[in-house]
Amino acid sequence: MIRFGLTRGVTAVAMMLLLSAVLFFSTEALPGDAAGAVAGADATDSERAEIRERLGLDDPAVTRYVTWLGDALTGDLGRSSAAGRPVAEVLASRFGNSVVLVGLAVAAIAVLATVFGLAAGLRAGRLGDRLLSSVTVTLIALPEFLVATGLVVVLAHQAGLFPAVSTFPPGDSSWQHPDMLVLPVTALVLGGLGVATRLVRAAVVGVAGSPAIEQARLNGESGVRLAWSYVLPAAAAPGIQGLAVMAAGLLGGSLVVETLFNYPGVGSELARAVTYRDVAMVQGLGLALAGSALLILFVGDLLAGLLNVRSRPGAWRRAEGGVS
Amino acid sequence: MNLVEVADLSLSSAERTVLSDCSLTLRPGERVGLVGRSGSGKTALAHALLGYTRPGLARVGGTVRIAGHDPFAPGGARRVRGRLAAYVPQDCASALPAEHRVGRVLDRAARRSGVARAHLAAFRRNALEQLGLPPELAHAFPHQISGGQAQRVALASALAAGAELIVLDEPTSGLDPGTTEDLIDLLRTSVGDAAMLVVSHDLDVVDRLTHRRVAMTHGRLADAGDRGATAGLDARLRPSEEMRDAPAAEGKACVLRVEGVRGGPGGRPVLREVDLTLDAGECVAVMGASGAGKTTLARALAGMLEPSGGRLWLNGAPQPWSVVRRPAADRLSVALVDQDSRAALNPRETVGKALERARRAAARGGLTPPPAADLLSAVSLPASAADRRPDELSGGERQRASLARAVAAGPRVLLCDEVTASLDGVTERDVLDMLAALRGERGLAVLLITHSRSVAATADRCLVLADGILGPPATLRLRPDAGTEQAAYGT
Repeated sequence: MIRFGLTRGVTAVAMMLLLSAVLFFSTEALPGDAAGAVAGADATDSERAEIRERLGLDDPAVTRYVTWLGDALTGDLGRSSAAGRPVAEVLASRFGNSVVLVGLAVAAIAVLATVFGLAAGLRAGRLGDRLLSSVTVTLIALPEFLVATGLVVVLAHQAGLFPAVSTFPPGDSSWQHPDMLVLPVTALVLGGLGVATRLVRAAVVGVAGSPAIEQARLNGESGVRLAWSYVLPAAAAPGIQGLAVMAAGLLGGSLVVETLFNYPGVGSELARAVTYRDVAMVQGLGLALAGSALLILFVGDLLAGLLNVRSRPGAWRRAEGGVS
Repeated sequence: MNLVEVADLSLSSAERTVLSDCSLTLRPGERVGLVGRSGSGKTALAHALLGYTRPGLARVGGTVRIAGHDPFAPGGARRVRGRLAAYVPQDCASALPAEHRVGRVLDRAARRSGVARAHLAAFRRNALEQLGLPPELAHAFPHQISGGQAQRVALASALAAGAELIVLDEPTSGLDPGTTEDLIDLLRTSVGDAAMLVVSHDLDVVDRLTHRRVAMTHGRLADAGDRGATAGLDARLRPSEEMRDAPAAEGKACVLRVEGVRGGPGGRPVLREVDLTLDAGECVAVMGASGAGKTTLARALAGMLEPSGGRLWLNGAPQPWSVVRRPAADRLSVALVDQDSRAALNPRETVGKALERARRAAARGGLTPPPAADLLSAVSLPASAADRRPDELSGGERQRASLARAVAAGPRVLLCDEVTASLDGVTERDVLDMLAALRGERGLAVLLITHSRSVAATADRCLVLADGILGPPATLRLRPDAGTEQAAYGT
């Protein structure tokens, strides 16, 4: 298990390096650069050249990648060419808000997907399962911006229950404005719930046909106890891995939702940076998002490994006296 | 009042009748054996006593009453399952919940019979001790205990539940002779005054455990008060006493050779120093106690488990252990028929498709595999089995489907891990006859891993795996009481 954790950790670091390279060189390859954005449309070629030199844009791309990566490791993600502030500072002020938003959504999805997935998986093929499956397919098919817009129209404009825009004074934490979190979190939950429910359902269906569950039924276990004590522990490992994939995907989904609600998170900042051709900002925020996604997947794998009694490290097993 | 009353029970799946008009009664404390060939509907009837039918099966008629309760009604099921009646399944190791420690399984059974939480610990200790299991076993997970221990745990939980009826499904299949004897003694002494229904294809076991027996053929029950009425079945189910001589193989080319095999799963040194040669057309039996490493050896030869040491030659050429690193042409030359046929077959794929895929693989390797219908009839499966998925077959039928698939890929060496353990006498003979024919016609080499001395006697040579070393049977250390098994088979 420890070896498994180490292998997965090393893979994640290698993956991170690869992603950082892809991120850096793909933003480099985009037309237009910071010099054009900083100098403005009226600047002469010589002004642009001067700015390019000042920003070090004339060095070979590989040299700049290595410098950028080295700086990033020490916490320096460069300076935003549009706002003039260090990228790390912007990231620090926005990251917490995004973590709150995505964290709340993932927690809600985990609970709902487990309940719905168990309910559908234990009734596989019957009416309840087919109804739930139709609902999840519909949720998957609806684009996130449509769901979010629908929520705004119905709950904010018509019912007036929640604010349509989730902007709050800079420096405030999102915790201080729970009413502003409701719509963005709901939009994210509706976006991720369909996939998560289907992943949990698939894991449950696989377990429900096993000899152990048949025997549990023959022993008179049924209903909630069968689901909670027998099916869920066996389905938990694949379920957790499914949830991790879904959570990593929500980071991307949060970009759309944050932009729509003008929520001060990493996603909306990233969208703005792309608009302004703020290369340093795009690279810095992109790196943070990629790192978070990899971390979530890594933690999901570790949790799944710990949940599997066959691969738990010795300390977790308490007693091995039974082996003979 | 009768404890069990089954009247005109009929079960059917979408396309066939599984049970028709079965009637059965058991008085309190009575012990009845339910015998019949594999696939005849024994397990379906045993399940029905607890009001359970496998997915796809439905009760189309008749009634079941356990002490007056209807287990097919929700209220009755709560009274019967795990309380009035306990079911001990065929494969106990995989039927225990993998995430529950043994202690939790026993506690849950005790709670069902109404033991107070405060008394659980003492109750659990008692339950383990009664079945001769160490108290530390309560902390073990199912994957950490042996198959024999798992069965005792399942039995202990049936006893802990205080059941008045214990249904045992094939209690001795897959056990070695010594363990079988222990189990029979245990069942005779520790079950107390609970009634027992013993489902088995082993008439000997049934006779020693029960007062009377009923026989199942094609979903119909022949209720026989005395043993004379089932004498005809007796003759067909008992293995014949004459053992055929294996056909002498032509041209003794060595198809498989290993030297100095060491290691085991997870690096445990199950095997210490194993040498083995198999010639074309030869049949070698490997015996040994449970846990001696027989399955480990078979998996190593098949390339599914890399031993920590030793060398392998196939058809005279040295080969790597791992099957994925063997050249494409040699990958098909060793086929393993796994003990666990449920795990070996794809649950989503019909038997016919599985055979077809194996046949295509053989065709790609330049062989001409026999038609699927011939393969099925060679293992005594009806042609209709081709359209069924593995979970629609009984344990014995599934095992034979797995064997047919292995043969379809045209191997040079066939490794059979307990393939006949869950088969009745007639089918066992059919399968051994088929192997003998393949050895004669195609020069197939067969390694038969078995607990049964009568099966081992059909081989050209018999070797015994003990203490990690494969040797001649002179070193066989059988338990003194295992002689009864020998007598039972008339060897």
